[in-house]
Amino acid sequence: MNETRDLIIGIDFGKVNSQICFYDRAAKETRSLPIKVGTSQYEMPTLLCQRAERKEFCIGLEAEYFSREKDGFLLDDLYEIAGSSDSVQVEGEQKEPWELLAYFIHGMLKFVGVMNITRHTTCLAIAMEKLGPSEVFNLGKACESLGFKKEQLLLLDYEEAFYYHVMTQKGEVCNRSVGWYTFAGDQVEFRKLIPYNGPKQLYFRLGDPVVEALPEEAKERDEAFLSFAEKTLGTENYSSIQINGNGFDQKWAEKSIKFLCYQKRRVFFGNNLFARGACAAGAERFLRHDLKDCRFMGSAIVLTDVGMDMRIMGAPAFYPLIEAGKNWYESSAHCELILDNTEELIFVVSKLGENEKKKISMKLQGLPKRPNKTTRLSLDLQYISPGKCQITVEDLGFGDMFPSGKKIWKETAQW
Amino acid sequence: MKKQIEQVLSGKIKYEQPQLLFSQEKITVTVKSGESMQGEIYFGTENNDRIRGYLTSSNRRLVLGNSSFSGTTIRLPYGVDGVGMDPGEVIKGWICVSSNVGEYKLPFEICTEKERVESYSGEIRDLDSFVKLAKSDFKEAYRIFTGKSFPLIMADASPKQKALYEAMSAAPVTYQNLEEFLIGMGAKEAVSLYVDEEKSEHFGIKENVLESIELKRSGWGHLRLEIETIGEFLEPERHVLSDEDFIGSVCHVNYVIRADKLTQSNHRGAITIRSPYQELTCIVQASAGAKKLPDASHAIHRWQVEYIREYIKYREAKTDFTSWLGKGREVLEVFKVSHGKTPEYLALKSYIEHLEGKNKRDGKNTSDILFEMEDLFDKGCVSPILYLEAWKIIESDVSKLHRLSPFWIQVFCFAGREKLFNEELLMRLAYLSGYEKQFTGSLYLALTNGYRQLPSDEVLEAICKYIMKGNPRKPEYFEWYDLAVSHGLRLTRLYEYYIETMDISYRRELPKPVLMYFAYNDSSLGDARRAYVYACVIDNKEKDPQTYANYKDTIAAFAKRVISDGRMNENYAVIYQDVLFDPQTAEEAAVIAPQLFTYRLYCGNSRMRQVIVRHSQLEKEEIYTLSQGTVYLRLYTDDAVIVFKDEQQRRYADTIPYNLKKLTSETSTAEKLVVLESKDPGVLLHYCETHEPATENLEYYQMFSESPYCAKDYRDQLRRKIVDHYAANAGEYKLEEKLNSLDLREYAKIDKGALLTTLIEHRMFRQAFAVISEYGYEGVELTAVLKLTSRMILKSNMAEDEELIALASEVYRAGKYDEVILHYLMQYRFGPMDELLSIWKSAKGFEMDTYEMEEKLLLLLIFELDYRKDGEEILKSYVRQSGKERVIGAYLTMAAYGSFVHGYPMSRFICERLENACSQKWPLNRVVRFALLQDISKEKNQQRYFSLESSILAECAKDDMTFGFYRKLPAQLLSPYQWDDKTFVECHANPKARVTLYYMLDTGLASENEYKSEPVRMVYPGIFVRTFTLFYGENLKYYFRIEEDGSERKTAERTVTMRKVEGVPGTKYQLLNQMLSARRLGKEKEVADSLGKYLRQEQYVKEMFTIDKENKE
Repeated sequence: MNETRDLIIGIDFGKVNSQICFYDRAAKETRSLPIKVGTSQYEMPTLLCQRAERKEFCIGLEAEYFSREKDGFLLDDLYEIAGSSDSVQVEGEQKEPWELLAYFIHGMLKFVGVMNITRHTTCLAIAMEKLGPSEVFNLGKACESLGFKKEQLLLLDYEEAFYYHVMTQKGEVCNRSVGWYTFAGDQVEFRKLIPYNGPKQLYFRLGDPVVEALPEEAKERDEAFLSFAEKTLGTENYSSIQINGNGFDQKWAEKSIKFLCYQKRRVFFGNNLFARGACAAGAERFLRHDLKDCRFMGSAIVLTDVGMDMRIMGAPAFYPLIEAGKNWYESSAHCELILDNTEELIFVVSKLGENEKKKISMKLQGLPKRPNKTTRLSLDLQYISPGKCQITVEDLGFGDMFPSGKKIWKETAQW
Repeated sequence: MKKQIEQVLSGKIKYEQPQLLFSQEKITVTVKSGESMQGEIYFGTENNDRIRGYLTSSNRRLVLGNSSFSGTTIRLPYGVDGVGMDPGEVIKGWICVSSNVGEYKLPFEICTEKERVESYSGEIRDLDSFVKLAKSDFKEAYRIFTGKSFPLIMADASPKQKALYEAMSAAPVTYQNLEEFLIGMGAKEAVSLYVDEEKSEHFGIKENVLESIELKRSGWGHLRLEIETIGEFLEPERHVLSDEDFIGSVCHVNYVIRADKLTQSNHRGAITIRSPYQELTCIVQASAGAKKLPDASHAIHRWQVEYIREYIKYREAKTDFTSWLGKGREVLEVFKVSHGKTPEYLALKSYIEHLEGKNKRDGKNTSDILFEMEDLFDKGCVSPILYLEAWKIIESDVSKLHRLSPFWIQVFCFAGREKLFNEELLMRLAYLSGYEKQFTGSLYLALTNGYRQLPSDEVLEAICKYIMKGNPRKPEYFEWYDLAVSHGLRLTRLYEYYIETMDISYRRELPKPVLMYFAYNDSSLGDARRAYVYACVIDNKEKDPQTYANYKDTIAAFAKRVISDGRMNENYAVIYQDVLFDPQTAEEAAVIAPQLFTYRLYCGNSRMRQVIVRHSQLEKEEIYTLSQGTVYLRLYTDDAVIVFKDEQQRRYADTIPYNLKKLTSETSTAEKLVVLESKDPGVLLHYCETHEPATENLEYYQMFSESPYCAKDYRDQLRRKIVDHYAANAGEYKLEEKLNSLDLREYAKIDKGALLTTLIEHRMFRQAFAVISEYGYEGVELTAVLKLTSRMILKSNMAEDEELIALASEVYRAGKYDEVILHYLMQYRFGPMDELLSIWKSAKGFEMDTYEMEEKLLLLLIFELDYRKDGEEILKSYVRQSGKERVIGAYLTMAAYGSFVHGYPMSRFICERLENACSQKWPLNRVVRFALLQDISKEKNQQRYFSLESSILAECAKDDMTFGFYRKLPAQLLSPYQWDDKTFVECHANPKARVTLYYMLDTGLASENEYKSEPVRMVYPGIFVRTFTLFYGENLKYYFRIEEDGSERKTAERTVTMRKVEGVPGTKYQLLNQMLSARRLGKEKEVADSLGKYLRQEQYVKEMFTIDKENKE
């Protein structure tokens, strides 16, 4: 690895295993980092362990070793902890979930081998299977505690990571639909990445998952998978097939592989696509900008534009607050305004791709009575899930003339 | 001492001891830790008496030059031993002078120096104050940073910070080193520079002009800026600027624009400002004339290009003739407007018209046309139109293409770029390329573009073969080799080139055919590439164990060969780890040891030349040279510091970004190497850092601590760990053997307390005693010292040893002792009386034989004329053991003197001894008898002493010695000397003093009385007595004036009244007193009787005691 500065790092924070990748500028591609010296082992168990003798935290294989051999305190449910808001007791000490996540991320970043890594990192992209409010909060806070700025951090769910992984491959891999099989023991799930034309850009969405159970015996398994593949792929054109998870093996999948490779379809098997996808997303966002004409319509996407009609610099204008097409955890807005002959805030909301505009008002009950244009308000909008937006309004008063009553209004809107 | 006894026995006892005066009231010595020094003091009496005596010190840290002395003014040299003392330690004690003028204790205090770091503005205690200093005065901070005392500031720093200091303070130390040190310690940020305007323009320059760039900086710190200019017309005012040139955060970088180097055209130049971290470039544009607009010819050229592009599109049938014609005319019109009717315009216009009129070729033969085209090409025409038209011809008739001339290569190149290939022509090209002898880039481009347009194995093979005619090892060709391998093409040396052009910065799963090939053709690759192949095989050995098995022997042989050459990179590391990391013999261990703990470091900064690795635990830094930004270095601990050095010898720490990758995993190997007694300092250091000391591994700690590679501080740390382990596990039998191999002197310097405890616990008394003798015993538990002292005394057969005596004494003084120590002390200890008395008492408690001790004590008491009460106890015990008569006699004499002259109380025992001595006629001084008599006089019933008393009184009378206590003696004893009717007044004073009696006698006759004075006779040295005869009722008031050494004092006034008339009066004075007494009481008869008796007695005397004249015959 010859990257020393402006690093773009991708982490797959998995339930069982995690991985880390970096973007190699010279090769213009993402590279996985081995987690064991002198090997090609990229996956490490998602474990955190507090060493008994030194009270330091270690992760992955080290965590496994120290908990097994040296009586370290092992946390093997880090993934669940990331989604929780309750503090955890570690060796008699209460630790917040984000603190533990910070130890884990810090441990992972050590594999990059760059000193003062926060200083030399442009983007840290972390992919998780699902991102809820707790995960977003905990990961954000963990990275902040490590010294990363908010704008350096990029969070993705697996769907989006998959999109970026596929879309940053060579053209022949992604110019049509892409099939995606995820194995989990005796179960296989199929989804496909479908391109479709949007108003201005090329849109991508993931099809609904189709799940099938597979028998254990090799031959039967091959047959079952083959028929599942035939059923799911059908006659549609696919430029590539991505396979991940545990349960697939080239040894048994003789016929199915043949089918998957049919018509020169490129088939990839590996468990590093989320880490690489996260890393690719970072590279795309901060460096390459190759996909500016494409948009992934994932389940975390906010589909509404939110704005307000206001007078700006004396002239009436529409002031956009939230732009549709971003992930909910990246969608936030802040502004300050002065009320003009009104005691309510009216938001203008429009759905993506629709011309119709809705007006939604928020009453500010208990607003102090003051002369017109002497109430200054702070307005914060923050999405807390794909459909819910939290609005926080604070009375800022009007200088010394009308000191702030510190009154705060909070509402959660589902536009 | 014998002389003193003689003197005492002969009664020559000094009334008063002169005071001993010392040149210093207290000895205060400051010594450097581990060093010794000497000093001296002087003492003597104020009147220069000759003194003699003995000297003892309470602590062996202060060793006296002499143990005894004699003379008037004594010079006492002493040595102070700071060996084994810690900096800042203070030891207090005393020197005891046991002299014939008494015992004195002179206190001393030994301090060891604590080094301080001083700047001009005061002491620098810690890093914070150092940073403050650096902020205000960087040069002074630099002076301190390069000074020897700086490590004191770093005393509490972490090993990593210490290592950083070591690395940054290595010569030559530049200001930059200090700057980097401060940044590395987190005390400051690197200074960043910026300019507001990166471009400036200056026109109409007629004479030299001085201009400047406003340079701003963030924060404080050292800066050395190099200013360079590009362009002859620019000249910097100064080539180097420093932080001192900044006013606040701004500095003006001045430069001169030289008018003589400018012409009317635009001149572009640049000024580069280079700091160690940044390079700022400001573009300067200048001209002697006015500002010029961009050249119009560019626009013409742009139109021409566009015009030709449109034409090519038309010819490639991408656009039709009409639309091209429309565009062509449009272009032509714009051209005309902007440039007028230039020859180019006219030519183009006529060509368009030509095409409009006759859009067909003339009837010329295509072969002729091609011939003409080639001719045109040879003459230098490289127009794409030419290539396009040629392509059109062969596209319609392939047979026109016979050979690949340079012209045709260009045509194919053009076709490839424009994606004009058809399968036939591509195959034709592929075929013809096989006949080419030499490689040309254009044909390569033509082939590759053709393949991208119409991929086929034949063309791919042609590409690979063609590449091999040129320089086939260029990494850019890998793409084609990779394709060829994946398509299963079989070409000579394909696999070699495949591997040789491969990016080996990361490992991958190699294609099976390649692996199979190299399993049997291992000699056709260079070592680095072979290592890569092998590393890939090892990487995938779990996935593909068969291939690994095929390679195993080859890899092992390869590994053994290359490791001996010291080769290392990420691939070699994988091989070594797989093959050699399980050494079985010391030889194997020695081979592999230098490759352990290797890291690959990549640094993208091209100014850096060397990488320095500093382990605070190692004596020296390790220097590696960067090669193409990469270096393979060794890091043994987590806290090693990596520092970079540029070509100007400046060092950088935190400001240079780099990437570090561990290449080997050696957790178990390192341990094996240690067990195989590897001497590699890195291996040993890693072991010591990752293991806790245990009985089994102490030798490895010891081995590294003795290694010349080990840094002094770390050596001390290791030794401390070793010693601590010994101390914590003292008594463990396995340790005893190991203890013998330690260099005890070195370990004593670290923690003598723990070492001594261990040695004593292991009964290694001689060694422990040697350590104590050199380094002292501070920090050792007293019980351990007691044990040691006791055993050493026994081991030495109670022989006299100064060290041992001092040790025993110190232990005793601390309250710990046993019989052996007591015995030893009694035998040899000489020192303060209190201590000796205490020893004696302790010995008595143990019921030991104290005879000699008592004699010593008595002699010492006599020597020092010490009248303390304890002496009697000693004497009692001594007498009980039938002590020497001389000693007892001398002590008794002294005690008698003390009692008689000084009035010290005398115990019953002493009195008895005195009485005994007198009765046995010991040849003792008369003072003994006087004292005895005085004591007897206090008895109520003195009947039984009459004979003794009378003999003593006779002795007194002989010398006419009268004393005050006579009045307590029975009159019958005194009457023979007519002292029974006398009154004595007595004064005790220094024999040298002049004593005058002032008295007033009140006779009761109411006459006016006055004080009379007269000198008093000294009856006995120190005792002055005056005898009065007082009549009944008379009052004598008196006091003494004592003059001594120029001073005088007065005693309290006292009154003596004659009031008693006892017994049967004998003398005439008694009769007179009786009469006076009777008359006072009104006893007339008694008066008359007494008067009769008196007269009768007078008559008798007159008649009976006549004075006869002597016959003169």
